[in-house]
Amino acid sequence: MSEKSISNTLFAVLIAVTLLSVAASRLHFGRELAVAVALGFAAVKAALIGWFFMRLRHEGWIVRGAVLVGIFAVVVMAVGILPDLAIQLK
Amino acid sequence: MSSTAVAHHANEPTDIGRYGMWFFILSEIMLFGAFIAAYIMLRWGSTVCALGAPAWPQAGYLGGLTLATVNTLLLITSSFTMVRAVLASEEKNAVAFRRFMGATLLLGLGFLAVKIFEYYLKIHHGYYPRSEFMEATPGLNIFISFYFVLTGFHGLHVLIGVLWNYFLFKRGHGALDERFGRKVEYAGLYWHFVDAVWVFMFPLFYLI
Repeated sequence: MSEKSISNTLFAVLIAVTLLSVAASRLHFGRELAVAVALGFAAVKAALIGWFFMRLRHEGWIVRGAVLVGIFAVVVMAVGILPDLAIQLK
Repeated sequence: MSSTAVAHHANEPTDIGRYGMWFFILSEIMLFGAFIAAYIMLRWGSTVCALGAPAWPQAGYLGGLTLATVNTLLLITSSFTMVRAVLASEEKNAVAFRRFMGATLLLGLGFLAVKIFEYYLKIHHGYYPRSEFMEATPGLNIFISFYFVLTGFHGLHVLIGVLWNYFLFKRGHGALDERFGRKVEYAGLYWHFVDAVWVFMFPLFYLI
């Protein structure tokens, strides 16, 4: 599959997922689930952009490792706040 | 690009520029990630900062969602045109490059115009930190502070991207060389990153 075909397909997928996420937001999930669903859609879209548009699929371990370090750091920052959150919700 | 060509490409000394760009993006992931992680946890755990539709009870909410959806479509489309601009520069096709980079520029400017209009609407409806309306609802005050800091900072990144793209657009005529192609590739990485950040901000500020 050529790069142009991939970009065409991915463009259509990204638009579809965006519209799907807007539609899903109308389903009135609970607060926690709404955040999780919204983040799930966003993570899928960001992963597609990174893997295909930013060509992470062609990169070596240095670049992929750098991105993973960034994602890991953000997860640590989020998870680090969880204990405080648990105390607040009691 | 074949896998052999890519593997060869990845070992070239000139890739130091691409590595530099990726490490810059790493620092940006941490910067935006810190704000977004704090915001997510605030939204997840706070009963005071219970937001989403209730946070935008007036006309500004519906207008904001529509404008943000338009902006999301603009940025995704601009990422697509940027991919095509990068491919055109690699093929040394100046005409196609200027066409797609020109489209990317216009879409980026469109995003900024919509964002400025949205700010105008928000401020007009009293959605700004420490306004009388905000002071009456402390949770909303926290939310709107996050909103302006994150969207403002993101908007600044879009503006820098637009200027960068404009610089390349102006120089992208005649015979394109590999050096120019690399510059376009770096600008493309930055532009896609800005798009990926918005992909997270859109649902977090407008859909939940």
